[in-house]
Amino acid sequence: MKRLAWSREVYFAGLLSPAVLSVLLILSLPIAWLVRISLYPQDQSYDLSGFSAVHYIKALTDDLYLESLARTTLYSLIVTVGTAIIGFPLGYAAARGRFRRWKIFFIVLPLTLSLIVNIFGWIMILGQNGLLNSVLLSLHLLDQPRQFLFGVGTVLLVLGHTYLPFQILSVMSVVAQIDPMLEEASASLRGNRWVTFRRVIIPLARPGIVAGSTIVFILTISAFIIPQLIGGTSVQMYAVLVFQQMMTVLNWPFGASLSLVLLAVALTFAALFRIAGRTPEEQTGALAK
Amino acid sequence: MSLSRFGICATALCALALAHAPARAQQKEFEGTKLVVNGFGGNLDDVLVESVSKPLKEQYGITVEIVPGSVASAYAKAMTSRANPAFDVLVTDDITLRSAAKAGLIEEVSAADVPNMAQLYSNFMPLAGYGLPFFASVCALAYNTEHVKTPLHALSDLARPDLKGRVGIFNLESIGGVVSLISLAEANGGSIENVEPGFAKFKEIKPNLATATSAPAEMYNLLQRGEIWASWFWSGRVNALIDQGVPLALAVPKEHLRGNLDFASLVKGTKSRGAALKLMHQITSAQTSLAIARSVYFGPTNKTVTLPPEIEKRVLPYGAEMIASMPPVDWDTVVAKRSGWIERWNREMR
Repeated sequence: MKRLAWSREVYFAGLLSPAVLSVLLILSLPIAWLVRISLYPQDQSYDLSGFSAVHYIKALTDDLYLESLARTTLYSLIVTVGTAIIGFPLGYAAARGRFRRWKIFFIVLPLTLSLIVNIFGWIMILGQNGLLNSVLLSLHLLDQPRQFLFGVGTVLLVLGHTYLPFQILSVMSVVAQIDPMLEEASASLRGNRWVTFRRVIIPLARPGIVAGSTIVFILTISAFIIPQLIGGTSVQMYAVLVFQQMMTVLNWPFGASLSLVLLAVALTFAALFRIAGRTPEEQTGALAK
Repeated sequence: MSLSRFGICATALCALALAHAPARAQQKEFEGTKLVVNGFGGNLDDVLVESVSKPLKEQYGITVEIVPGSVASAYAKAMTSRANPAFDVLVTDDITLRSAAKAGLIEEVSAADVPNMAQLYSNFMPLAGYGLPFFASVCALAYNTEHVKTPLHALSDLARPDLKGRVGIFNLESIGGVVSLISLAEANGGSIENVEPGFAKFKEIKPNLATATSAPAEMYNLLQRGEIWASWFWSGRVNALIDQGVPLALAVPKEHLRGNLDFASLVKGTKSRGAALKLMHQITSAQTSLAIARSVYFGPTNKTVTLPPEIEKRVLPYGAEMIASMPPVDWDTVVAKRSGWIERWNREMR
């Protein structure tokens, strides 16, 4: 029996090893390399040698970078909460009822578009010569075209729209596993719709919401093309600053420091989400230990 | 009888094939050699395929793979693959050329290696054989003639009140933005060392800005859709928009004309040096220069090129006189100061 358990462990280790190895190679090594680069004292991309924390000190004391980090985190939280509120009912509805395959198809469809195409589409809708302005002008709600592009609101809208499918799919996969009988049981125990929603559906769907929110948060906090193309001059998200250092200034050590600071913030929030997303059993289990 | 005749025929055919194979190999010096070079994507790469890849294939049997992308990302890739170079020839711009030379990533070539080098404008070769220029591009003023009734003459005209919310410029991540800063500074009493007056002008333009981008594709799209009416943009791109029927006019600013050069640089340690030199020779030829000017309106770097009259006024920069009038940009100073300028922009232009 003992031997059987051991061979099973070997078996699982064998199954896991390709994934573990590839994660090590593809993820850990480049990050280790990035950490090393961030510790060079120089301000360039060549002749790098020595150790120094000077770039981290700048990243964590200069108000330009701190303020951008704070704003980026705030924007990411807003987008995450927004997509959770909009994505939950969509995901719930998509998981229940008929035509599930078609629903998945339409949810995934926007993801198949290139991000650039998506952004140029928004420019056509929100621009001064765009669809929204022409509708508002023809309804006489506006006298003159207004610029809806190039502001924080637009960036958040487009970020939310782009990443919403991840939230929907995540909620959908969890809700699909909730037995509809539980909702009926709640109703038979005189739980009204609100009580059923709040005390049955939400707690059971929580892992899906949390997983979706984590994905959306991490994608938003590292977003770069959307703020760069439709943020105009007013929105400065952190990943854009990383890109500036890496690709324009060619100050790789500073760029690497900024990107690792961003990674630390993203991982911290992912961990917080994980704690918030624990199921009741996990919480009591943790207490019992 | 018939069998032996068949045998004779077969032997003769085999002999012919065998004799033919080395003959063909001798004809094409670099048969089977593959070169990798970074490109830009889009029309420019199509031109390079037609006037560089195809002739090299026909003449020498060289296969050229053009990897589209940005110059900066190609530079990063080349820097991280030095032991086994990802590119044989690296296309660099004014900024990456200097970094690549300092880093020892590229090596110098001479006119003996690349005979066409002797035909290139000498003031387009800041680092001599480290980078052979194959086109020159400048930023100029572009304005929508339907909406802007008074022509623009200077960069500082972008601050005019009638352009409120309708101006697009390059930020300092783009070389187009860097040259606008230098030109604005110089025109207002400053210099590359003192860009204060340049930033002061930027602040005057700021209320008019719809956006300040680093992406040419975005500027192109906004001009095309009439979202912005006035812009500081690559002249070649403006010409392409005019060809599409967008009502735009191109104006040479009264500030100095400045821009960017794109160079072909030989990567140190390439396994196909001989073939790579042939590519550098072909890309700097009068034929390629002319093809680039014809299709994307970027300025020729080869002195022997004569542009046909229908495009000679539209291609900037063109002609010895105009090229001599372009003041050189001290790119080493730009590289040294740019990160400070970008930070200042990040703080002040938001």
